[in-house]
Amino acid sequence: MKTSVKFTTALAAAALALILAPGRALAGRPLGVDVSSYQGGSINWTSVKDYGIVFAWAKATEGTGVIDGDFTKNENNGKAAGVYMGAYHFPYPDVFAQGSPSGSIVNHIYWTTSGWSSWSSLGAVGTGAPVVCSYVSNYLNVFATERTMLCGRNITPHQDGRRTGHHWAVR
Amino acid sequence: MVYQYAMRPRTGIGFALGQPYGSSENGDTGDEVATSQAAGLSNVQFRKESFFMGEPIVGTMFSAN
Repeated sequence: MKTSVKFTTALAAAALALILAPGRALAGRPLGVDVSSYQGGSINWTSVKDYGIVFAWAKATEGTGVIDGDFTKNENNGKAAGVYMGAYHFPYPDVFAQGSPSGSIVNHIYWTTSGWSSWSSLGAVGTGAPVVCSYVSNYLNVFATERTMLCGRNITPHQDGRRTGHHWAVR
Repeated sequence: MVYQYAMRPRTGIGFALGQPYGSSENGDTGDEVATSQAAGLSNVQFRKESFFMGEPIVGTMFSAN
């Protein structure tokens, strides 16, 4: 009886540990993270890799005029540590994608043409406000056209259909 | 954000699965913050879980060059 109680208790403790463990829902598959200058320019990518992070997206640009100051450093150091590095753009499609988003893309698309990323994505992080679908369509159309024109590749958009997804990828 | 890599068996297309909103910069779930911090990242922003509720998980399609 005591053995049974101990076993049950141990099982419950193990289950509780699994429930409370950080990243419990994130285990089992190769993991990736996104980073930007917000994390500072001194990320220890070797530690990141050693922890088990396999790939990462580093922010390259934001809006119409922000170039992430740590992008190059993150890309170089991440790659040197053996992390597959990608890049993302932070466009606020829910705010100004209705107008002419091309400026924000073309002017800062250097990161897609510079060979930095093994894959790249177009971030769709917004303000959290509902997004008008036509904004997103316009944004994607312009992005796809210019991206294809500049890089000779095709865009593969992916969104959830109701609001913006987190990323669209480009290949 | 913390992403999980997955691949569709038939097509071989890779996906990075993640929450539809958020980033390390503008807000992650508690699990994501904990994982990112454990990996050594600093200043990872937490955002209330309710921010993500009701939204579908979105896959990010990518392929290595």
